[in-house]
Amino acid sequence: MGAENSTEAKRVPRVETAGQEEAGRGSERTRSQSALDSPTRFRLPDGFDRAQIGATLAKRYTIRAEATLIGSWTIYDTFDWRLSGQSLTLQWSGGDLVLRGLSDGEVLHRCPLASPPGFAWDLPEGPLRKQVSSIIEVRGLIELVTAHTWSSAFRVLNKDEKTVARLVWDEVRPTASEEGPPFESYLTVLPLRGYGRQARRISTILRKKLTVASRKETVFYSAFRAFGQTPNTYSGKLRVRLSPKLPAGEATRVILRQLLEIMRANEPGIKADLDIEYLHDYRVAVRKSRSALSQLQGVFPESKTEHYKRKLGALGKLTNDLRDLDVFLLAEAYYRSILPPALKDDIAPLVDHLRAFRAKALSTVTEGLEAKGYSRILKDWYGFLHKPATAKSAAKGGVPIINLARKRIYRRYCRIVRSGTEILNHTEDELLHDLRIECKKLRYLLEFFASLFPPKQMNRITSQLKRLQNCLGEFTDLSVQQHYLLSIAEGLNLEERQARRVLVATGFLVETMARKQMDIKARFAGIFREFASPAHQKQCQLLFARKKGDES
Amino acid sequence: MTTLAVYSNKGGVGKTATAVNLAYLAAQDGFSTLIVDLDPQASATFYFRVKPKLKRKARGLVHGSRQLARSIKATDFENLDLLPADFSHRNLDLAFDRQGRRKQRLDIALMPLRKEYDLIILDCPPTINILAENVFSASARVLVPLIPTTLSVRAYRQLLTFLQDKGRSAHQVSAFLSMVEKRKKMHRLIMNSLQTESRGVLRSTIPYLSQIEQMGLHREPVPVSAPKSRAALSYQALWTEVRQDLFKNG
Repeated sequence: MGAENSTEAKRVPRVETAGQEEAGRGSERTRSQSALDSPTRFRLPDGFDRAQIGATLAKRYTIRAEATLIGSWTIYDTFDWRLSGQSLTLQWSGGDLVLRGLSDGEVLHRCPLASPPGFAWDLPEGPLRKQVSSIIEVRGLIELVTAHTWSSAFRVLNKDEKTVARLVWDEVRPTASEEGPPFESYLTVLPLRGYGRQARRISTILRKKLTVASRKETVFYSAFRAFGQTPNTYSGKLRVRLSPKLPAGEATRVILRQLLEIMRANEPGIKADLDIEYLHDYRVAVRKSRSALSQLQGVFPESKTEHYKRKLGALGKLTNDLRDLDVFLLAEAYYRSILPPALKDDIAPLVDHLRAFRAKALSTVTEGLEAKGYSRILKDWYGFLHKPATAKSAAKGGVPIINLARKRIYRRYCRIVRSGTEILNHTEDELLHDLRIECKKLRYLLEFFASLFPPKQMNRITSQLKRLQNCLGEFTDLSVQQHYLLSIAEGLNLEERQARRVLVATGFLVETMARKQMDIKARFAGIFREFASPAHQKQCQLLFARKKGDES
Repeated sequence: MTTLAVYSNKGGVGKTATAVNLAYLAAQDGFSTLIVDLDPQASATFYFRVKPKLKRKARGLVHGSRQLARSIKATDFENLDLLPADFSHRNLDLAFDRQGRRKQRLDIALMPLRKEYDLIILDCPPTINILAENVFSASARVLVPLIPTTLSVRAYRQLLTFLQDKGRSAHQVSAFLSMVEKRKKMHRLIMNSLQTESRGVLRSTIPYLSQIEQMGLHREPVPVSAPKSRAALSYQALWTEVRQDLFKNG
């Protein structure tokens, strides 16, 4: 069998030495060297050229140039740096895609890929896709930097003109022109089998003039630097550090400013429709902003609070349809998977309809974001958030934020415990929905004020809350989707036979989801009891309940 | 991984030139390749500018020890290593003869290297004896250069008889015509009859060319010293045919 296959497989390494690697040919050794010393990599100072390499070795050796391989590679990550966040990097060099360690350059997986990577589901099946997909999920990959590489090979000859070692000179530039200075330049000594002593001797000579590059150095950080990129600069999560004594008005502004930045950062991605998470992050930031305004009432003058709550609410409404459609279309594969074979294709008209509808919804959102009114609202909001706090104009504006945070968190927690306990007695869907909203509010508060409390305890509380939220969220999502599916299916303009089939398929989906909801309901009690356990309540009380001397 | 022997029971037929050029072409194709110089005259070793070892005895091959892997030298070309000839290969016959499983000694000695290389090419001295038997048991394919002369063809028939006597299959052997001079009538006649009547004769032929003779001068494979030459193209065609044959069914 696989003789042909195995020869093909063997030929891959040759392609990969084609100067497209982060450090070109020097970075990966050929098989015949596996039994040898490892290559030594030297960092070259600016202006160190080929003549100088030759001159350094001239006493014992001559060097002979072989081909220079010119290539380029591009690094991809999601907008929110998910791969970098896991210390990974995805490098595409025209023909293949390589997943590497960001800090050590180690190749984890590779696969052939002719066109630039976009989404995980477009990648060839295999271990690379599996790992990348679990990290980036539905996010699209975007191009971060493109580096151009020159990889020149030299043979080092002894007095008998026998090759006793190889040198590889790698240069990486931000442009395709050889004129510009490289942002990385390395010389690698590759030992050859049977000539280890010579390679060591060559390295010793070079060491007098050059510094050995650390094994862990990779070209990726310098590439980011060369392009003015800093990994992990964007995150959809709030990352504020508040000091406990900060006046509440000021602290709230810090939080809202960061949320506004998140909104702004996502606008281009929403308009370009790069993936559905831009809109999601944007909407979450809007919702959190509104939630901050209403949960921290009294921090700003009431008229301002109401005004901006209304404006932010309008932004939420503007994007509602698009998000609903995104969620539905994302679930299409899931719907198909639960439909019996006979009904599988019957939701096709529904999906087609929603796709067309989504295109319209997208243009509504895009127009909305480009409208003059929109930029006016945001400018106004920006101005408000950057104005120095005037403590006197609002009742709670001058209170130390820690006091307000404790009070609001504790109040919300107690309220959830109360209403949840009520639900345990009679589980009504409405009540579950309400509880879900309460939980979300608490979650936002915990996120806003995470920096004010011990991280370990906060994490414990948050993860308990998360479990409760997941349960409630799943329940509510299923309700929403059932209603959504039914209303869309009813409104479809189809010929009768087709319409009937769509309704049957929809009915099946709705029934399946309703049954799933029953399971969730059954699970709720256990999860809630844990959340409201005496120990947990005690812990929350210790952390958040009113302390002596708090002013409010 | 597989092993190819370039073998002839007659001298001066272009064995070493064939082994060296095929090894180079294989390495160029991305196969990690080892050429083993079994010939005490060390021609292949000389072509690759490696110094033959004068002091140590052929311990490596005879005992299959780690010594063997340590003797391997990289050539000037990527993917191509050489196990240099050793003058004491002269004594190989005797040494093999003295040991148990005497017809498999070479095969056993090469065993650890098979993991490392996709292709091992044996450049053999012109003998029919215990070394030849070792070569046959160690190789998947034996490639025999054949000059289209009566004597050469006679030697080839002797080889096939020898193989039959030793209970080996003639299918293991491929011949190709080497040092062909088309202007010689006898060459043309023998070529025609051989290629039509005999099985196991490859279509590619290597002409008699000065570029091949000059290998000793340049100490480089022909595709390196004269890349576009007829000699280089002939070896390329031969390699393509051999490669298909070697890697056709595992």
